[in-house]
Amino acid sequence: MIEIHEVTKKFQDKKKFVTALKHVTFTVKEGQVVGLLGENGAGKTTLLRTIATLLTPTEGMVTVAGFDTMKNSNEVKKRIGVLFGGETGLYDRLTARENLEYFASLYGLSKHETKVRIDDLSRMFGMRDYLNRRVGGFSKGMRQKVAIARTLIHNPEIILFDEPTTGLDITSSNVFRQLVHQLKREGKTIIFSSHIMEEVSMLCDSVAMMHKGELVYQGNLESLYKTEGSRDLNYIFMSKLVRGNEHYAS
Amino acid sequence: MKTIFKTMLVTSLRDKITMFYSVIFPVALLIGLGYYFDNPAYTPRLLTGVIALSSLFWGVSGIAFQVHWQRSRGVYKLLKLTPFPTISFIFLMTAARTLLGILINLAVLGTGVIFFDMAVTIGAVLGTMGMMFIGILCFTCLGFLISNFAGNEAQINMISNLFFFPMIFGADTFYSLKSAPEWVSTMGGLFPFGYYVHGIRSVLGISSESPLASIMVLLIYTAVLLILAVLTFKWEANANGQIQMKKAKKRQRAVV
Repeated sequence: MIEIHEVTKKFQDKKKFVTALKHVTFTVKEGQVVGLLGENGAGKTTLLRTIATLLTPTEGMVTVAGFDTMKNSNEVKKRIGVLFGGETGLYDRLTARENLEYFASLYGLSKHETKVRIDDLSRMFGMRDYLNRRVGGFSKGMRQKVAIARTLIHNPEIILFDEPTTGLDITSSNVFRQLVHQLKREGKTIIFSSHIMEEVSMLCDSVAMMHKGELVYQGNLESLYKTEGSRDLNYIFMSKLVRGNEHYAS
Repeated sequence: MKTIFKTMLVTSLRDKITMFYSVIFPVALLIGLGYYFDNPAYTPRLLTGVIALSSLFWGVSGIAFQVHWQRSRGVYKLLKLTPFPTISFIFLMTAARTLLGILINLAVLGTGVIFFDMAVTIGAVLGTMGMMFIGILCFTCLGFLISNFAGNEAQINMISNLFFFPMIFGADTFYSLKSAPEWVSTMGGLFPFGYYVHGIRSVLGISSESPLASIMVLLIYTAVLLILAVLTFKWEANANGQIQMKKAKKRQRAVV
């Protein structure tokens, strides 16, 4: 479903080049839920932005559902939904329904398709009571639900969440987790970056760990637990980081 | 397209503060000053001045704040994730705001006709609408440009004022500049506002000047401001509200 092959991404910072991604290669299969782990600046957001066509790889190639993100970006855009943590991109002065209609039109959905999708999503996320109310008066949790519905309005096969629970309280975070479970049951392919290990171990089938732009581990969560002899993802993550730092030091 | 255009109109119409300053304030200003001066010879100048000021504030401040808000909320970033062309989005946003701006200024013109017996022909109204279209478009491009350089709302105000003061005081909008030092009118001539005021007066038949010169100058300003706005346009603001996408883009271009 998603193939990332030898992707390197460099940015120029003043006079020197910063390598945000170093020869990253991994594959995400259809229906998989992958947790992207790493410290701040590890390259998680750069990787998600590259998959989402917002960034062009300096080297390497990314394909989504068989489409090259550089050559067929519009085909890729039709198939993915992206939610950046802390940014809902919703218009406060519009109702939840109007916001969803607006985003549906950006994806080229017809009036009928839009109506059906909004009905489905509002039922799925329990938003019917406030669908016709202006977003400006919503709680963080309600906003997050509308933002996720916005992400799914065009029924994408792949969903990318970049630290989606950032700034959310416990109740809203739980709502988000329930929604991911629901999407997982629907067979959606999901990649999400998170600092919350509990969240990752609860929701993901597999994990990808990043450190200083490199992929230090990718694989099934259960096999990781077996190999490391622990079910404490926090401990495993930290020990991988220590090993990674030793590797850099040597 | 229709839904997006409608959304742009609705978001502007539901902004109570902007609508107050854009509709109620100029109408009240015209009625208040019109009755205060109570001078039929001065009313046409007052009317054109209020229309011009209203167009300026609507075009510059309105769009600058809207673009800043959309950028800081990640609207443009989300737009880049959809197959919808950003240029079409900006065109629709500008079109919706220009249309609303024309309607607002027609309300001001209507106030002048109703309250001060201003004689206006259908041809003059159509001509004024055309002039308003060019003027608001020009000021909207300036608003876009300002939003590209401002990192937050306070900076939008500061940069806007840098343009507003020489434009308003350097043009004979509400008073004659005959006794003013020459540099004042020279300074005013460097900005599009004075040409817009003269253009509105010409199409309304308040002055005998041809509106062609004003139209030409405004079109040149619009083209230059549009090019500058496109060249400096930024997609995203950083966490502090400071905009740095252009730098990132430059860096990216240097590497890719």
